[in-house]
Amino acid sequence: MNQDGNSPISPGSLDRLEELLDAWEESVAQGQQPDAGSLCKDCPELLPEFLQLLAQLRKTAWLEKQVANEPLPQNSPNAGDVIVPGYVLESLLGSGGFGQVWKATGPGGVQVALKCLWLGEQRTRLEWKALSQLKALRHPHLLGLFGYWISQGWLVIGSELASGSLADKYIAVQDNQLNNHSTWKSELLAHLKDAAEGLDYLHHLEKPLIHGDVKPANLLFVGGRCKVGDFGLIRRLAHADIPQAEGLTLSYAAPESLLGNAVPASDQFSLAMTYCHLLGVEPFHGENIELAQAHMHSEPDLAGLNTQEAMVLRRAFDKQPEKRYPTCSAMVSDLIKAQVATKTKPMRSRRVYQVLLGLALLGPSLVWALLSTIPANKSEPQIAYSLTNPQTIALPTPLEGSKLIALESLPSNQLMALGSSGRAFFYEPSQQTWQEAEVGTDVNRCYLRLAPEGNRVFAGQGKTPFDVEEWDTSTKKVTRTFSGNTGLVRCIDISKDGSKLATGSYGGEIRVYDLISGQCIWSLTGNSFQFQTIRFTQNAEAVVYSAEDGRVFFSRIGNKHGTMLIPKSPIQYWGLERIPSTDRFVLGGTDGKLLVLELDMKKEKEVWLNLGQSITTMALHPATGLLLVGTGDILRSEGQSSWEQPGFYPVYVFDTKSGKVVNKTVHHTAKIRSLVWSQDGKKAYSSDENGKVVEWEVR
Amino acid sequence: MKVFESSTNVRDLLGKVTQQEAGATDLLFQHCMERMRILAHRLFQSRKDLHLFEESDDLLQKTLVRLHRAIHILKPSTTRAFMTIALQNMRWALKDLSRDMHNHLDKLGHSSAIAKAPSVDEEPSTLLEWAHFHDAIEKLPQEERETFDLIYYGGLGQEEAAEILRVSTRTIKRRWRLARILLARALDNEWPSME
Repeated sequence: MNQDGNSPISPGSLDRLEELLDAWEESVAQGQQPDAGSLCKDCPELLPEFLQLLAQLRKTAWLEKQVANEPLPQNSPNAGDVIVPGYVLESLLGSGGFGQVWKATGPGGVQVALKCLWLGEQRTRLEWKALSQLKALRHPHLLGLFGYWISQGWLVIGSELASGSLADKYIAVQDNQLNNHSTWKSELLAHLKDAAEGLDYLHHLEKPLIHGDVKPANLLFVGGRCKVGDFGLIRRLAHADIPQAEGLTLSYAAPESLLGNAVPASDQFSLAMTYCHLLGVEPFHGENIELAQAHMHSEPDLAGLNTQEAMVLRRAFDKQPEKRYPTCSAMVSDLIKAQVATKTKPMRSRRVYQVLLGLALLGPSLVWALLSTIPANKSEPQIAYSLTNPQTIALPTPLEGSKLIALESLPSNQLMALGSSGRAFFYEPSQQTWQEAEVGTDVNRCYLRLAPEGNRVFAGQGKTPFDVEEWDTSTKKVTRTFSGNTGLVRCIDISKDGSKLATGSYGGEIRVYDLISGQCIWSLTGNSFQFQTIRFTQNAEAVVYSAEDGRVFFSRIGNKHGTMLIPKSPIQYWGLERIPSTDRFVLGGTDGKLLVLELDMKKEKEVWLNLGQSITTMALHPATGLLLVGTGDILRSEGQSSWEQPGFYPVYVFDTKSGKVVNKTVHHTAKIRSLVWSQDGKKAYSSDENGKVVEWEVR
Repeated sequence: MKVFESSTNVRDLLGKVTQQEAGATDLLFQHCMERMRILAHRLFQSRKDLHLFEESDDLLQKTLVRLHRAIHILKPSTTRAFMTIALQNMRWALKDLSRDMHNHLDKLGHSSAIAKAPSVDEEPSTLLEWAHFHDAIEKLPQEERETFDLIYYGGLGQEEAAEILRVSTRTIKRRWRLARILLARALDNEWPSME
């Protein structure tokens, strides 16, 4: 398999992977449902790579359909449609590779959820047969299903209408500032207790069933109580007799599930993972393949949890399912006991300190010596530079719902924001008010960059004429425009001395302008690829920039060509920052890796860390050297979408001096679009693709 | 005009071209035109309000003329050369068509064609996503691109593609599969998209 040197697949494994893919396709062609785990039983080390390839093939399966002229869905459901007799579709609740979920009104005005799956005629029949098993299932903690219909290749499944999921609940709790850790943990455990009962019911049926996709988004609320959602359940049931590694979510998958041997205790592993994630703890690290291997071979990292909780979770995460708890309820029960035990600890701590206070009379040095012997409380680590107290900023109407909100912080600590339409707005944090720029409401701007001296901000236009506007930050008016680009201006930098402006465009151009004369003094044009990020070197005599084909270049201003620092690859770099006072550059890749690159070509690039989630944007605070890192989807190894939507999109604070992550926030539920520090470094702002803008306190 | 509906007809046609039957090349050209219409139709389906765009048919006609001109100027002497030129031009034409129409609609003040980040879970749903798709094919390695062109743009079966490229069906099958894998990777990396 020659892949232009870009494939992560090791050369020695290629032939074997080809054979595995051949075997898979042959089985499918014969009408079988092959099992990835069984096919890889002689080469389990190839399973993650194999699953990844299958996922990528699944993503382009529509091409096969078009080639084979398989009929595609002709009439997608619309609001007002009566897709099944008696039920009127009202509003789309969600959609994805699986189909669509609609809120609908049934007979008597009862509101329900209808899931519509496009399966094609043949698959519809298969699913219909499997669904008959669901009819007998009734439990207060399983989402109630009341009917199934087939209509012109659509499979429609009717269920109770949930008010939201555990993932939604977590976000709401954070948004409402009710995130007292102890209160949230108690509430979470109460919900998991409900879910555990539902799962145990499935596991102890005469013919046990495995949910197979337990995660926060599948734990739903009806009437204030938690119920296990049906999506994974149905998928599992459809192939109940053939265990396989399809359909599960990698982040929550038990090791045996990855090998296609799921058992009821696999759901316990996923439930334990749900608990950890909703407390901001990641027991296993890495991206796609590394994560799968970590689930199969690594010990969980349970730092941040108390000793009793960690003991419970280690058992739930045991690699051997038979060593886990006998039921999900037993595990949750022990977690509740662990929390009760922890609550008594502060009293003991207070007593210790009261004694120490008394001992103070004996002399400060003795007290210091005694205090030094007290181990740090691992459950509440003291982290410097944390982003705390997230406040969602109410947006003016033209910005509401914008997926592409770009942010920049101005010297007055005001915030400048661009919406999808490119209209510019200014936010005054002390008054929580927005004001639209007086000029250029019809101009589409897409990228902002503040000049180091703070008196000017530059805005790149996303539509014709693709100019770069220079704004005066005090008058908030456009003072000059820089023209010449023929595509969307995606990246801008201003040299440290404020004398030069560099731009990179989707028109395949790099341009450098003299900010004194306003003239373009150097350009690289005519490239067929788009440029994504650009930064000046320390002396501003050269630029470093990244292209859509994964390459990263270094070019001296005035030279005709660039030097390639990173070769062509499928990994793109949406994050690029220069560490202040150095010619070291930090790059954030779609593979989740944070690289540091020195212009001294003798030095190899170094991987600082792997966030396991694609990096979408970064922002460096020049004074502290702290880097905000925003995340996107995770590459998953199986399922219908190769980009797993993890539910949460953390923002990391990375210390470029120590090379360590000092803080991770789990708050956003969509890809991070833009990050910015306030000029005084006391606040940070983030925006995501749901159009949410959040203000953080930096402590 | 619908000339060929199945790969069997394409196979018959290839036989005629090989035997240098009179008019066979023109029939091959007509086949490519028909494929172009089908593929362009898919593109149009990504805009529900395309009926607003009165010039869409004119634009399609222009691309057909361009394709016709390329084939007649270059006068390919083998079936493989003919298909390579024709399919490459079709790919370029479709890419330009999707970008031009997207820009044209924007100028007319119609709503933005992109309402969401590109998804590779399914067929592209906007004009810009289609442009990205055709662009991604352009960047495939040569062997995979040639195979992809024949199967997707040319509407050929794997056996016919193998005959034209003079390789085994197994090789075609593997190239097609690798092309799909690389395409999935390329389109995933399109995010974030902007307009």
